[in-house]
Amino acid sequence: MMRRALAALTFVLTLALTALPALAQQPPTAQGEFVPARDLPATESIPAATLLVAAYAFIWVAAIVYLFSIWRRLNKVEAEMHTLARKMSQR
Amino acid sequence: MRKAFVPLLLITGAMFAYAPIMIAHADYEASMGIVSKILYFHAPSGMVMLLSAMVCGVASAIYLWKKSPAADRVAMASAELTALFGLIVIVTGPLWAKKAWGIWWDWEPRLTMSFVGWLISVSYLFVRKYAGPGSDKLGAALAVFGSVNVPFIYVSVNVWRTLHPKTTVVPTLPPGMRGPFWYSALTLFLFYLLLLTARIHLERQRATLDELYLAEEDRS
Amino acid sequence: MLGILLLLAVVELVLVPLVTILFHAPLLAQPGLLAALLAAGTVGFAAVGALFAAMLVRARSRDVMLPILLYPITIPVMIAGVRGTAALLQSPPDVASVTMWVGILGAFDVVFVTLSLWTFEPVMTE
Repeated sequence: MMRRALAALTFVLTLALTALPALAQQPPTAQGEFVPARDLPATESIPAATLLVAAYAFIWVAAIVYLFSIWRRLNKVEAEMHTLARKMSQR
Repeated sequence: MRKAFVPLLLITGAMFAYAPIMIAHADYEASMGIVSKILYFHAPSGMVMLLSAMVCGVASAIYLWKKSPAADRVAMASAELTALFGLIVIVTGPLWAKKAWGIWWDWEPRLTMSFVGWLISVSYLFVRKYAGPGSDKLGAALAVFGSVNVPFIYVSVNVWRTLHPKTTVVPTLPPGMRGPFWYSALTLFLFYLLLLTARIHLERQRATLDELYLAEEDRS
Repeated sequence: MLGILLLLAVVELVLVPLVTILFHAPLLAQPGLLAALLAAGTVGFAAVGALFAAMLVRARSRDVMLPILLYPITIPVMIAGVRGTAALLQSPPDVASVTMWVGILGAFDVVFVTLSLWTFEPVMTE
């Protein structure tokens, strides 16, 4: 059951990912004449502040996720150690 | 090293909290404006990634020749951290590049070699997890190869004239940017040590658990 | 490793003339440089390939592991080889570039062969 769901998910993801380059390559409607860069509409370029915030946000998220993963794994190992120690002392 | 965890945690936490203030007050770089502030975490992350790859390689070499399990634990922890800091570098770099160069990515020597170095660390993690018996030695050999990649990454940008700034930019930073830069470098280095300590502790607990299982089997 | 080297050399001996004929590629314009490029690239690739293939003999899921292990390490060798060949195929051949790529391949070869020879024994013995 799990395997089927996983296989279905992989199939859908592959379809989506192969479709992405096709979609991404749709160019915006070409402009007819010369437009200096400062007169471009603001939607043409990503504002710098967004990129900066995104970068720092990613760093924080990555650090926190990693610390959390270490903490979770450590808890699992220590729980196993305690059950094992208890089992051995009961013998 | 375990005892150093809590003081390291406090110091690193404090430094991280102060870092945004330092970075916000730093001088603006002339041509790129506010986006260049990504520098303060991107370049030190790169430095830590290369350092981590070297640590992993040296620890793996020690493990291969001296068969020391402690070295194996250090290698495993350092490989995970290489992957983490490499991911940070690979994500923050394009976010900066989009503004600075107009493109997200370019297959130029330094970027490609860094990406390959990151791939090697990810391969190491795969091998350690899924290759079964003998995976520790396999991973160690891979890590040794990965660590010789590091000098190539460092030298590649100075040999070719490419998009990515040369390493000579760092010593010639103007004073307004130098302070925050080295402060962030120190913060990230301490953070690396902190994560390394925690991760090695996890590996050591796993080793103890394995020993306990073996002892229990011997008894029964 | 010598076996792999021999096999690859034979394949190259067949392929290079075929490519020259089929693609009208002036590959044989600078035979000395071409030979150096091919030799350096082949040695680098064979050294690492032999090491990892031998190491994986007793590993689990080794068919999947070989590409995972090998690709990141051979990518620099392949990039250098391809760029060197590309420089060689320009008319006139860009000798300075080719020499540079051959030099880089040589550096990789020295490092990879040395490392392969060193790490072979500790990895294969218990």
